[in-house]
Amino acid sequence: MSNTRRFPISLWVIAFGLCSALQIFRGSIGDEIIFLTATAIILSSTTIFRKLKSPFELNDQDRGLEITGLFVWAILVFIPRHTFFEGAAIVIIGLLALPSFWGKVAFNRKPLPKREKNARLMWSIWAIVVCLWEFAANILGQLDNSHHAFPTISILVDPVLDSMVGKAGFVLSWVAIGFGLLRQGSKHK
Amino acid sequence: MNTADFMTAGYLIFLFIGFALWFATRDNKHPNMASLGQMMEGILHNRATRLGLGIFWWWLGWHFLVSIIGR
Repeated sequence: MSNTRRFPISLWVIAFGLCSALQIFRGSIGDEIIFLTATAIILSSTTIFRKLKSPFELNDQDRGLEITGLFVWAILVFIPRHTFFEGAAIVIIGLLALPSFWGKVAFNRKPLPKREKNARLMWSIWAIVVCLWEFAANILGQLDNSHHAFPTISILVDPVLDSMVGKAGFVLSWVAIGFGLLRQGSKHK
Repeated sequence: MNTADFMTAGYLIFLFIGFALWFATRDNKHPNMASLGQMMEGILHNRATRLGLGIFWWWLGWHFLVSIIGR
């Protein structure tokens, strides 16, 4: 899903653009705004703002990220879901993480080795198939007017998060993935 | 098997395939296939990939913890 200098417009722009289109079909205004904003951010990040560098520099050796991760996990677990405070916490996390994802460098300096290209292709195919299955469930559910006849991942996972254990597990996974992305991303300044 | 069972079985099969792919390549010793971690380290060189994965990760948190699901 990434490109070199020959293709400044990333495939991620297309992926987020398609997700934006799906949100129109879903009728979800909030998600529509999020995906359109994301599409604009990603598009601008490799075109008009490609030379813009993040003012923040996350040190990949900094142990503070682990402590922050534990703190974030505890806060998100104990704030009730679907509340203003949970929303505010997630927005703050996003605003703090965004500059680190932006980073200093826009493009690869060297091409990926063949093994990594193969792995990228394999995982891209897997992710696209999962997305198509999810899109199909969403569209068929909308047409059938029954979310439970064609359940999406959200419909299946949502009840699990109503329990404290389920929510704690989800938040732990979510924080760990974000931690991994920030840690790996911080190696590329 | 009704449609709900069929769709759910699909998700479980994809989850199993994803786990199997990760497990089979986790030691990063396969001659033609890098591990998931090694690949991530490589692709995160690109800003668009960092932003794409990072924003999608953030949205998952927003979607499951803040949004009302059921649409």
